[in-house]
Amino acid sequence: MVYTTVATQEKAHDGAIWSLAWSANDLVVSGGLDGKVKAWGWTGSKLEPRVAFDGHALSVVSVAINPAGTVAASSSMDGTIALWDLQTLAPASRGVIDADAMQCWTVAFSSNGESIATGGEKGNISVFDVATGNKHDGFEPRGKFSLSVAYSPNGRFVACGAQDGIVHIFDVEQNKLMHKLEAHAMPVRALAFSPDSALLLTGSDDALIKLHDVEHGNNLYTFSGHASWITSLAFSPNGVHFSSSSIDKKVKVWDISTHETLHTFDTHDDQVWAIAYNRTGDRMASAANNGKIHVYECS
Amino acid sequence: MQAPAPTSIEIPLRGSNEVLEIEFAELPDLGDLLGILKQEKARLRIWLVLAIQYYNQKMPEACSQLLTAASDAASTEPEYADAIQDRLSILNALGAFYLQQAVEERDRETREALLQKATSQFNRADTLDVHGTLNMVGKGMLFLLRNNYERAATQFRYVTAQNPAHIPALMGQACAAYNLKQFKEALGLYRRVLRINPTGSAAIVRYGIGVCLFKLKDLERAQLAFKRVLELVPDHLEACVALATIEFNTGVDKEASATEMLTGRSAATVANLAPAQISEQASILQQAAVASVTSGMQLLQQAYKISSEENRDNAMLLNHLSNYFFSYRELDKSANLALSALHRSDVDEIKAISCYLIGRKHHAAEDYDQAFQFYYQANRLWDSFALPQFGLGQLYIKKGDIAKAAEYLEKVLVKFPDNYEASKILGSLYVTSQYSNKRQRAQQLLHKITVAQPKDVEAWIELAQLQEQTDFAAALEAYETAARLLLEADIKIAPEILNNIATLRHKLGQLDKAQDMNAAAAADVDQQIRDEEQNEMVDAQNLRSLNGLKVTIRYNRARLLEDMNNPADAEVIYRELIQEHPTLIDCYLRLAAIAKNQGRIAAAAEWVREVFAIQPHNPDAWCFVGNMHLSRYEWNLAQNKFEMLLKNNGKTNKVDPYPLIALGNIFQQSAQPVSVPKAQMDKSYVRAAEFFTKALQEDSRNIYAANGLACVMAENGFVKEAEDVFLKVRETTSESADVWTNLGHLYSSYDYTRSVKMYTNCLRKFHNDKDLDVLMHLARVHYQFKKFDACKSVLQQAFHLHPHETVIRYHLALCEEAFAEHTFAQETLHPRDVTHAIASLQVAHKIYDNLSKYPKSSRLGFTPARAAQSASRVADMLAQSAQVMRRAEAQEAERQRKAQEHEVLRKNLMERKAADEAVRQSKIAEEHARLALIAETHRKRADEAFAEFQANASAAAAAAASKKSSRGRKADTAMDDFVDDEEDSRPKKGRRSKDSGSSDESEEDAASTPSSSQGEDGGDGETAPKASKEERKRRREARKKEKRSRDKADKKSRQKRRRDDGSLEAEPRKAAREADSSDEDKGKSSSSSSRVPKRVFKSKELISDSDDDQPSSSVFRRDEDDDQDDDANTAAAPASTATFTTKARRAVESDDE
Repeated sequence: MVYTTVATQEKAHDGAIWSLAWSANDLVVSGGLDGKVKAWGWTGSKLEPRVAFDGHALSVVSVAINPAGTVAASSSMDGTIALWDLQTLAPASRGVIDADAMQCWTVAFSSNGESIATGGEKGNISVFDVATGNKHDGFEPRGKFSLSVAYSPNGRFVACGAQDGIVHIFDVEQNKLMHKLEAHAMPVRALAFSPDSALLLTGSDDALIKLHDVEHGNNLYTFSGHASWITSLAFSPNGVHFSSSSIDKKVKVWDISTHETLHTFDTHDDQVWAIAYNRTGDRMASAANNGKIHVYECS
Repeated sequence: MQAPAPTSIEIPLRGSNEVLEIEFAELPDLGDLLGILKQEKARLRIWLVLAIQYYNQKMPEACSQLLTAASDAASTEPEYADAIQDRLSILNALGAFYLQQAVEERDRETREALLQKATSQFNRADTLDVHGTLNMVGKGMLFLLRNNYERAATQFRYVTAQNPAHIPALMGQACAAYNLKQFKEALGLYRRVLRINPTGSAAIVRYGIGVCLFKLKDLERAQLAFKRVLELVPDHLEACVALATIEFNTGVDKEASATEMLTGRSAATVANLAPAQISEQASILQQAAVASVTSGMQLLQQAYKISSEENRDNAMLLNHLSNYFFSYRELDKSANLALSALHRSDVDEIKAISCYLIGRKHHAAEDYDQAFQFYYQANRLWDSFALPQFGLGQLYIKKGDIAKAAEYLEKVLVKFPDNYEASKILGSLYVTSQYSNKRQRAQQLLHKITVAQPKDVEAWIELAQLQEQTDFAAALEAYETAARLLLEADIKIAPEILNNIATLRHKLGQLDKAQDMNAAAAADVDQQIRDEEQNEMVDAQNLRSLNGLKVTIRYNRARLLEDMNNPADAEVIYRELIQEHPTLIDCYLRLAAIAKNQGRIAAAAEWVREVFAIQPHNPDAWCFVGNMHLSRYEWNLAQNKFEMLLKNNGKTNKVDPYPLIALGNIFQQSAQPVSVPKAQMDKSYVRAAEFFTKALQEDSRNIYAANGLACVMAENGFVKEAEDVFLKVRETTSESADVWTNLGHLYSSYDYTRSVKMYTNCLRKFHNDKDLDVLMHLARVHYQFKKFDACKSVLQQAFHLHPHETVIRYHLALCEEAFAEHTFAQETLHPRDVTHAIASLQVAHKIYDNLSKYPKSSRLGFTPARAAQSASRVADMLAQSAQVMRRAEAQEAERQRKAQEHEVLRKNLMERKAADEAVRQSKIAEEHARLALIAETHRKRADEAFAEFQANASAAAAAAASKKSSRGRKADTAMDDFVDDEEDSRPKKGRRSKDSGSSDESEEDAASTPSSSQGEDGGDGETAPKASKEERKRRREARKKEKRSRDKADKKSRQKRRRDDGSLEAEPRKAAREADSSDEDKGKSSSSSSRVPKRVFKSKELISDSDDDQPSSSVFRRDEDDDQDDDANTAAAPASTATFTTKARRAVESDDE
């Protein structure tokens, strides 16, 4: 395996970047403290600025791109979710969804790209229709603030990680709780389903990453190696590796079956908050609190 | 010698010419002789001669009787009355005889009686002739024997002054000088004797010279002198012993310098020698040393032979012999010889040596009590004799009295500062001392040893052990030097050392290397354990200690894993260790710490309970529980725990400063809330100060205690003093986050930049930019200084890090609202700023509205009712915002109109300028043409033309002058016209100077509220030139007023800067408290317990810094604002008194071994 930093974008944002997404057609979308959502084109050697959307009154907490790569969603501290058309590079016709204060934190697209889910402060998951912006039936409140939300790639499950370390897995079809995992005792900020939807990774402020069997809800392994909060997790598209970022300023690449740390990127000089693989899994981007984006080769 | 000695003497017989000849060879019976002498009234000189003969023929009794009889006869018989000289001779001879007897007498009483007799003889002699030389010499001798050397010297000097060649007196004087340690003088006197009489009693004189030279350290010549003595008197015992002593000393010296060469100590001499040469020279020296010792031995044997004839009563010889036998391990023989030496000597130093030798025998025979007694006596007899002191040091170590041992060893070092053994033992003793000055001394000693003997592995290891506590890097270096030396010597490095190296590397953050070392140590121990178990005779004790070491190494590995971010594997090891050794408390505590770090509070509590089951009073566990309570703000419970800890502490002698600091912190914090009555507050501060002071008494270098005390000082107005302490603490350690925070608090009242710098550094250095408290402090200082953008940015960062902390959102809303208010209150409004402000109000409203729906709870950091109030207030503001927007738009329109006017004006100006320029150009052309014409005319009509030209020119000049004189200025070129035109559009001079005054003021304003300056400057720049006088004045007034109100808000905090006005401090604080309570009355909530003022930043109460590097350390701090301005209509920021945070740490986890 080769692990090198192939591009660095300084001052990608004015201040911290907290979220990244990499679309199927090589657009990288970023959001952070300055409240802007930016789209970058990956040329193969660098990130080219394409557009900077300005539609939130407060910082952008998370961004997500639908599987087709046509729509981006961003959630903000101001309690709004904005949709952006990545083809025209303009605000989507549906515009801004007002999710109410503390009713959105991170956003996730469903596998069919038709709806977006976000976690609320009462542990609930709200679901909105991408086309209309209407609110669907969400998932019932289950305790503490849902900091992280993830749909499984097969569309069957949605998982959310809470402030108190509990991870809930719901069956989307039946709108029913499948598992309540007492995975951690500290906030769970990062979740990632494996490409085959069989495994779920959870990352917490306890610096641990746990691997769970989605079907049975049991803990398979605990990865340790970061010195502090886990901020983001991403499975490589082949499902063999995954990456993690932490406020310990490091990005680590792991082997899911041998449990080894394959590589540690130590090139950021500030907290790393977001990581995203490209479609083929040979590139990965990470973004830090000082506004820098790094792109790595990992093949 | 004198003339040939007569062999007989004649006694004249009375009344005849006949004589009775007495052959000395056949001395008659004393009774017969006395009869003859008395009867014949023989001259006293004859009596004397005969007495000497008896003496020489070893009949001292006869001699003394004869002399006594002579003395009696002299004083009774009238015949002798005039023979004064003879009588003197008799008395002096008798005195000398008694002296001689006294010298030889060992029995103290008899000896004293003899000395008395001698004294009475000399006294009688004195009555005959007070200046008699002989009796003076005799008395001198007497003083010598009574060890009164000063007076003896006086007597002898008197005699030698009269008779410089008086040999007995010279000898006596030399002896006195020697004993007075005036060796040079003594040497001179002996040499004088030798010059006067080269042959007479040469042996004694040369012996004297020898000992003087010996004392003067001229060993070679001393040796020559002693050899000469032996040539003269082959059985001269003292000379023989002295020669042996010199040989032994030479041998020792040579051996030492050979060692020096080989160990590389004498770098100077070795520098230019090849190793082969060094070893060659060293071996030559060693051979010489052996030769010396051998010849010393021979001399000793010779002395032994001689002495057997004299009944062996030379104590020095006996001591030497004792030493000799000791070295051949014939201990009893050695001790017996020393004992008889002890009995035979009355010189304290020699007796001390004998005692030492006896003591040493007992020491070797492991009879420590006896050994101690003899060493002790030796030391008492001769207090600068190092050997018994060294022995006493060793014995005190055996007894376990380290202080005494150290005392004696220090005595040895006073005499021999470079003594290796004493330095090393003393160093070892001090290594484990609880006193830092002793440890420093140990370090000094050991460092000296490692410099002198760079290959002394033990010293390196001890030095390393010493530095382990203070200087990890130095300790590591010392250990690695030791390891390298062992490796060079092909000796296996003990796993203990490997383990220590691993631990030090761990502490220095070299985790990978530490892991390697730890693994090596573990492998080593495992191997040793296997080897030991395979032994036929298993050494159970060794096996036990090996297993103990194994546990330590495994524990250290677990600690290392924890720091390598692998708590899971660490946990496995801790659990295994507990399985094997259920009483390993540290493992339980580490498991508790790991659980706490991962937020598993219940599990942590469970592990601590396990500790209490084993050790109900384990202080670390109590601390852990106390800190858990603190982190959950359960003050009373925490206080209970720490008080308990203190109580348990009191049972042991050593007081742990930790609970003291913790209690100090608790009391300090309980004094902070605004709701605390003044009296109770003061009481709490006093108690806090007491605890901190006590902690400082226990440990004067405790930075946490110093920090805590400084907090109390700062809270009570001694700001400058507190700052001094904080700065000093920061100098001392770079590891205390609190001190940065506290400095941030101190500066927050008056120095924005520094305060921000302190908080930012603190975040970056200690909290990985995520500590909520410090972020909130930082946000507050931005807010206070109206840096709303910066404040919002910090709050949003905090919000992102801690989304569930409602207090952040509350403050974010506050900040948005204040920003909007501030914007609306501006004189100059811009629609885009108003748009921003309206957006801010909308965000604020949304947040307030959300927060107002929370159930009331002390954890929120605000009251929902207040949030509801704020929400409706913001709603009102939003309602008014349209009006503000209209005003802004009107202003904007006015500005644009003015801009257009200005543009028109500018255009006109340009046009006029262009026109003027055209006029000027045409004038110039005209002038040129005219001049050309004049020149032409001049050429043609020189005389008249000149006059005409003059007239024309003066006319032109007059015209120009008249044009400019209306402005009172002299101008010659058209360029000046342009400048003048410009000036016309400017304000007049007088107004300008006034203006500059006001602009200074606005600059000041800008400095105090930099955030507002950006918005204002543009507008002012454009409108100022057009503003009427009245309008300017009005605006100036308004601005001053605004400034005053701002100043007022800051006044209280600014007062803190007055250093020596501590008393003032109480006033603003009190006023603030009153203001607060009145605020409470005004508000709906009449409950005085509400600690949340309306518009004040208040830091949140809960902390979740799970990621702290030292997991079991506690962070307890609380925040409070006691000075606020609740006037909703002013945009002034609430000035809040900085609060101070303190922190105590406990190294539950840092004690690795």
